[in-house]
Amino acid sequence: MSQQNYPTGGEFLLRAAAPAEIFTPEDFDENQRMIAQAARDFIQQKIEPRREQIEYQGDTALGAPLLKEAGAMGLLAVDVPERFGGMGADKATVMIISELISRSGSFAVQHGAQAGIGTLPIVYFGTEAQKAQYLPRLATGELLTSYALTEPGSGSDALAARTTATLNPAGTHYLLNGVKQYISNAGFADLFIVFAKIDGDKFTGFIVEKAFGGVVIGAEEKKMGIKGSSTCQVILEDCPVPVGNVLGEVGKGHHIAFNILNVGRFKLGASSVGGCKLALEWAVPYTSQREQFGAPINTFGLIRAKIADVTAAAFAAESMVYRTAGLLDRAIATLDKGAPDYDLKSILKVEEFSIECSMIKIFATEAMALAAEEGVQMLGGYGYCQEYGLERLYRDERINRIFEGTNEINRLLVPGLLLRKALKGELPLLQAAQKIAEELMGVPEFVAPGEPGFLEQEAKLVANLKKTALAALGIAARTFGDKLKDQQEVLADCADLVIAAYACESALLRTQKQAERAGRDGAALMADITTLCVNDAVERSAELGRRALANTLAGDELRTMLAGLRRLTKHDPAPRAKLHDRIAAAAIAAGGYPF
Amino acid sequence: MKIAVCVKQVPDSETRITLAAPGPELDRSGFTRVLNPYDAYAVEEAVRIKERLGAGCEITVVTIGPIRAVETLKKDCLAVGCDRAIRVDEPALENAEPLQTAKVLAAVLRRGAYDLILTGKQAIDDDSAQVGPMLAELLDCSQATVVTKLELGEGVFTATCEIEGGAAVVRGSLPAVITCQKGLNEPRLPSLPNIMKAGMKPQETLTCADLGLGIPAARSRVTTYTPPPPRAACRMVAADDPAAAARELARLLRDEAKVI
Ligand SMILES: Cc1cc2nc3c(=O)[nH]c(=O)nc-3n(C[C@H](O)[C@H](O)[C@H](O)COP(=O)(O)OP(=O)(O)OC[C@H]3O[C@@H](n4cnc5c(N)ncnc54)[C@H](O)[C@@H]3O)c2cc1C
Ligand SMILES: Cc1cc2nc3c(=O)[nH]c(=O)nc-3n(C[C@H](O)[C@H](O)[C@H](O)COP(=O)(O)OP(=O)(O)OC[C@H]3O[C@@H](n4cnc5c(N)ncnc54)[C@H](O)[C@@H]3O)c2cc1C
Repeated sequence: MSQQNYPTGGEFLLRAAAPAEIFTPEDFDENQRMIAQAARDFIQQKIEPRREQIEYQGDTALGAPLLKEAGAMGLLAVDVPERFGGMGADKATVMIISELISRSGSFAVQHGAQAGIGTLPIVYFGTEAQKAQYLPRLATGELLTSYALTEPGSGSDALAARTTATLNPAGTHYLLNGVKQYISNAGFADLFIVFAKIDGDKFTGFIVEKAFGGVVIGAEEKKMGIKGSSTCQVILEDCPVPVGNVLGEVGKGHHIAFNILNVGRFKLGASSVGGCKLALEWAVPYTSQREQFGAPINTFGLIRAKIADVTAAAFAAESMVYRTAGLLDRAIATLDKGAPDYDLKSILKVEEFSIECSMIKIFATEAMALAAEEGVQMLGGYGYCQEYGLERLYRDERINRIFEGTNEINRLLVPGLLLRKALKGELPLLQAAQKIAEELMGVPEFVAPGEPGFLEQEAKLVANLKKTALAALGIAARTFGDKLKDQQEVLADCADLVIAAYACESALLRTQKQAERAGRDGAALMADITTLCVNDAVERSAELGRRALANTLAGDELRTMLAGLRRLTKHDPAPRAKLHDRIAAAAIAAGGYPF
Repeated sequence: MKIAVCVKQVPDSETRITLAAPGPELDRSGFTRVLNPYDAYAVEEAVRIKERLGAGCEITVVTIGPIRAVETLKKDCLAVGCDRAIRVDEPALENAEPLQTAKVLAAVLRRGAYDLILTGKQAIDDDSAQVGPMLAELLDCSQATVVTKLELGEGVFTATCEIEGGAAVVRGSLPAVITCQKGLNEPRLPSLPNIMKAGMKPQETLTCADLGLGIPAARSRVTTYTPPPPRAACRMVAADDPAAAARELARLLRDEAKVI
């Protein structure tokens, strides 16, 4: 286990955290609340009046003036170090802003491309000179930026890029040639973070100014959703980039690309939480007003179940996002803020949590998919019409599961990264898995019958969810060895087991922390949600575990492990309809997400 | 020039008020609170005057409210350019009536020699529109209400006031109380760095006792809040014979709905 004085990424599988250790939305301070409100005010005043033009007329060029207005307010400066005109805010604050900005729709993607993936490569990997040259103007929006990694022939397999960079004979400039595809903000960007290969193999990052020449912008893509966001090809034709604009080390572009994706995934998770809340804000009041069969439709059990399931998914996603923000802030706080390589060191801290970043990306984007899906359904025919925002949310949400690494790619990463940490000796996962396997073959522990205490069953089941995930992963690794990477279905099932454990534990710890602060009554709603989440996760994990084992083992060995799995997932099923009813009542009273 | 801006934290206009039955109390626990929108014009006007006049101009923002009002003072006032804040924390003044509010604000304002006192034309929660005018009377200074344009001269002001069906241009001497209306200006949004720094500006918390004042007595009190009547079911009038249907509709509107 890590020798550090803070928990590292993936460690949650091996160690039970205490409620007091974790960061939750209930811990937001006054500054964070004010910043959240300021981001809301921005959307209310600057985006809402132009909603039709942005989302339905697809006016992507409006992104430029809007980004500049956001820049004037400091909304582009959150991640930029203070010495370059930014706020150097903590990750929790960064996530609050991502969550709130998601309410702006298409603009959220433009904001993410500017303040996130378009600026952060310079923050983390730029030289002091590059930072001084670009960051102050990126923070204000004077310079608009974009991130150009994807190509027509290389999307998920980003390192297979074909764009080339050739040093000129004078040794002063690289000439870039190639085509980048689906580049957000390309329509108006002044700057492009471009990845290209030097000498055909050294994958390298470059800071490319449009003004260098040789940059041609293609037509706007005609997309399903986020229609107000600019997405174009960027064609590089002998684009001369000064050698001083190489970003990071030559041949280390993958290091930049993957680390920036990590942050992007995390932020996308936070913005998906915002999307879930928006869907509830739009759908729940509708169900209160809409009457059919002589009663508001929110009195019907099936509608209440939808409201409650979306609320619970949003709660779990939100708990994961802010818990992880807290973990990152603790890890980063161990660094010397005055050190010259502080920025680079802090992205390496984020890298330690790339497992969490991928888990959050998957879980939160899928929670938002559920929210949009059920939101439309709750509105019936009106949900299908443009007059109501849910139709747009339903289309807009779809991209979240495709960019920043498709959810398939992220599912492959979760077990892959865990096993890499295990092999490097950073996390004793395989030893723990071995112990669980032995325990499962032994005599079951006797459990005295009786009513479980407050969240007692849930806490036990969360521990078992972790064991299930560890056991499935350990058995798969033992059985397939280095051929495991070819067993994608097993890997994805393992990923979902790990995610279920992290989501449920995050919800549970947040609820326990709230109970410590506000008493059990003050945490009653959270406790209902936790019970629902854990119940559903355990039932799903039983199935995932069965599938993973059946794809891995056979014969007696399979039967023994299946018996063990049944022990781990044994539980008294929760009265879901009753839980749904209470959770929905709270959401209906609040007119949306009840926290 | 010394400017004071009097502001109030109010429930957001989208606040959902749930009231099961008539009663003397509202459940205010779930309210989102914001700066009274008309006060935002007052804050913005003060900041623009300061930006025009430059050094030597100081803006003090004054409110009566509990600790939760501090967020509004910081985010919407100090972060956009006000220099200092005074908050009167007096639980007995929660939901105070206009004269109580005006008396306490007047006591605060008497402690500084303000040339200009700006406030919203009304607060969107109780909609009284009385505090500004009362304040001018208590301080014995000139006033202009529902102002959409303000110009300052040497010791004088010229204000355009919205009146029924038109506008009136009012000239008066300073000090003066000006109540601000939509149209006066476009309030700016606070920047995030300024929000973070707002806490460093001086803030003073006072009680009535600190002001040498007894808590002004209320002359009225709310006895009941009543929820709006539930919407009645829709009645359809058969339209086979249009003339008969129109007669029936007119009768229903006159005799039952009593709206004509
Ligand atoms: C609106 C929009 C904005 C975008 N913005 C940007 C941007 O600003 N900058 C940028 O660089 N890129 C951007 N992208 C590109 C985006 O990141 C890619 O679309 C994404 O990485 C997927 O790549 P692809 O589209 O080539 O799909 P592919 O990689 O061809 O994937 C197709 C399918 O195959 C699956 N798949 C691929 N490989 C595997 C595997 N090994 N195992 C199992 N399944 C696999 C995928 O999960 C997917 O389901 C944007 C895309 C869109 C649509
Ligand atoms: C593109 C389009 C084409 C259409 N074409 C036609 C057409 O040609 N002719 C025509 O007559 N109609 C048509 N419709 C109407 C369509 O049949 C209705 O939209 C549909 O019946 C749902 O009714 P609603 O939209 O009023 O939703 P609602 O009935 O208000 O339902 C809203 C939500 O409440 C749920 N709900 C309602 N009652 C209950 C209950 N008792 N218990 C549990 N849940 C409940 C619903 O399942 C839904 O999720 C069309 C609609 C669309 C969008």
